[in-house]
Amino acid sequence: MWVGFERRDLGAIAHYTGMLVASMALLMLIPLLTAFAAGEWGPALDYACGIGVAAAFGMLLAQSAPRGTHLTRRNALIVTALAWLAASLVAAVPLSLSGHYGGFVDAFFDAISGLTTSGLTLVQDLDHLALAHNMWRHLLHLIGGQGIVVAALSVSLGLRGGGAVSLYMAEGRDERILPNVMHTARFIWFVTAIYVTLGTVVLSVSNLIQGMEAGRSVLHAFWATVACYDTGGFGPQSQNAMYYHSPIFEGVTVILMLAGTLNFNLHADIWRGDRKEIFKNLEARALATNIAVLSVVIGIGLAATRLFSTPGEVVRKGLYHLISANSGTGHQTLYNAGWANGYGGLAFAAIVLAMAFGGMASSTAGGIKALRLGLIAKGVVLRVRESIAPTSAVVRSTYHHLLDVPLSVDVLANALMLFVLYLVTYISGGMIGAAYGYPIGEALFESVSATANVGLSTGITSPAMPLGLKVVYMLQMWAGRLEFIALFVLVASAIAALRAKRGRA
Amino acid sequence: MRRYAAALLAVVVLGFVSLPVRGFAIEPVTETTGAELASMTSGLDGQLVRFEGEVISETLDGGQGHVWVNVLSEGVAIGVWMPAEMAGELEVFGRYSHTGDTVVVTGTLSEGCDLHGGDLDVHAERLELLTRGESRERPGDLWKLGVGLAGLTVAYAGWRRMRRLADGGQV
Repeated sequence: MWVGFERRDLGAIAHYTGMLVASMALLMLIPLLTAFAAGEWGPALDYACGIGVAAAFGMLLAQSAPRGTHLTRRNALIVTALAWLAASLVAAVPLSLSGHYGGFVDAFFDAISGLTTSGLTLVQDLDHLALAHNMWRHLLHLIGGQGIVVAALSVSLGLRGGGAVSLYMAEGRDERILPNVMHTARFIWFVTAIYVTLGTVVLSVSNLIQGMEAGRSVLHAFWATVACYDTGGFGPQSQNAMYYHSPIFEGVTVILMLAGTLNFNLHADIWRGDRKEIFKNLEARALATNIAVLSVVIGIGLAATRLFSTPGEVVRKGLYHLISANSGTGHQTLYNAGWANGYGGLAFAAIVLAMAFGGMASSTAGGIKALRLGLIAKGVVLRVRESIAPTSAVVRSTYHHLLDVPLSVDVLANALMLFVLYLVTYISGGMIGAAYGYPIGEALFESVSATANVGLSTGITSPAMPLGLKVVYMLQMWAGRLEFIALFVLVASAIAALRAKRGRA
Repeated sequence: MRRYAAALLAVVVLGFVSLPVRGFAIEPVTETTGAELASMTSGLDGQLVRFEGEVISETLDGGQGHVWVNVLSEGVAIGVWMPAEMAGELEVFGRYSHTGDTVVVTGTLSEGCDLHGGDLDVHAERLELLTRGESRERPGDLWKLGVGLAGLTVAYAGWRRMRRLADGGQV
């Protein structure tokens, strides 16, 4: 049954969306301080403007209802869907003022890409972008990777009480690592802080040894760590990981990408000392199988091109890009154009599949997710066992994901539904790209990259691409990050509200 | 005597032509850009290329007495590996505050370099400094500060109103 909106529903939705938007103003203080520290006065003014716009927009929306207003599950889903858009809108303000974007739409594209941890970019002349703007682009990965709601909960921005739990669940996070969502949110940040600190220290030292200036060493290290751990993919230079010419950089970023794609519940188990869970867990096993099989495929594919003369080169390039694709990061040590022209069909297919499958649920990774693939595989095996068993036999299956759980029809149906939704979106985006005149293979690569929030590109994503395709990729990044349901609830609720309005008229 | 001299000359000429020494052989150089080099369709793998661009990185350690310099050419940056002394003339690298030195690189393109883990790179044989990099003027627009302050004023008024409502006061 479609339930229409009452005035108080709209008020609650606007209030919580406003509070989440206002939190972006607080977070913009970090690039503002970066600009001051670096003496970048122009960008400092960009952030002064951005802070004012975000704070005013957020607070005006928040007036719609009093603090602590109750938020139903449906409304929480709508807030989540809207918050990602509204936050991207205000996040784009300083970027668009930087002079490095073709217009507000391009800056909005990058803001959505940053928050959804996709990594596709329309920035121009990245190599001369201010440190403050690079700080903001990478912070968007951090905020989006942890989840806007988690970020807001962590700074306790007026989200205590009624709406907090609903919003937390609606954001697609199912971890209840600790009994209280506030504590869980803080635990997520705690784990992140450890990885980010370790990654930044190691990469800073590596950069310093390479010969980079001290300040740039630390900033580049922090950005690379955040981009990899939050499986984002932005880089401060147009060459991305190729800028550093460092095997150490590549090794550390691979570890960070793998850590970023790990389910937060598994992080919690490891933190508590239960390391066996990672070997028993269906999701971890599915991801390991996925990476192992596709590594062989990409290895054969790259070797067949004869571009690389030694197995070491094939492994180094193949594994880096496979883990980058599987984790949904999008960092690269090969040029974009090569995927279409140089690295062969088999390697291309392996990367598309790795992006499509994605990492683990309850992580910062995107895509279909290893848990769902594991469940579907278990479902197929169950079906085969049922078919060959005597008719009187009752065949059951269980899987281990934190606990031993029976494989139910509901769980399987949910996994299959999301599998189909991702597949339809991948193919639809590819067909739209083809309709704009791009080769279908490259269009499909780009569509999968956008929907699975990866960020690898064949070169289609550029400031010169048609406006319509920019909008399509923005929608795909948004839908993929929300795993569709919150988006569908938003659309269905809008339709229900319109029908109710017509009915009254 | 003339015969001996002619024979000697012929031997020297033949020697120059047949010796597989790079310094003596005249290898064709292809003028190109970073964008073409990274396209993987240039057909220049293993060939001597020359391209112009802006230095956008510090000289990064490249091992074996060499350094890496990243050169931005027509929107695409290429890693150039060269002896450390060759990069001695470089001073300014491109970033927000500066335009980097403009250089012309002559070197061999590797689309999958065996020495560097399969990277696409250029091993430089010659580096010419065309123009010295310089600082960039980046004037700020004060109207942005005005918009920011106006926004903060609105936000503060909204926040105070919410506080009053939460405390049970009148609007």
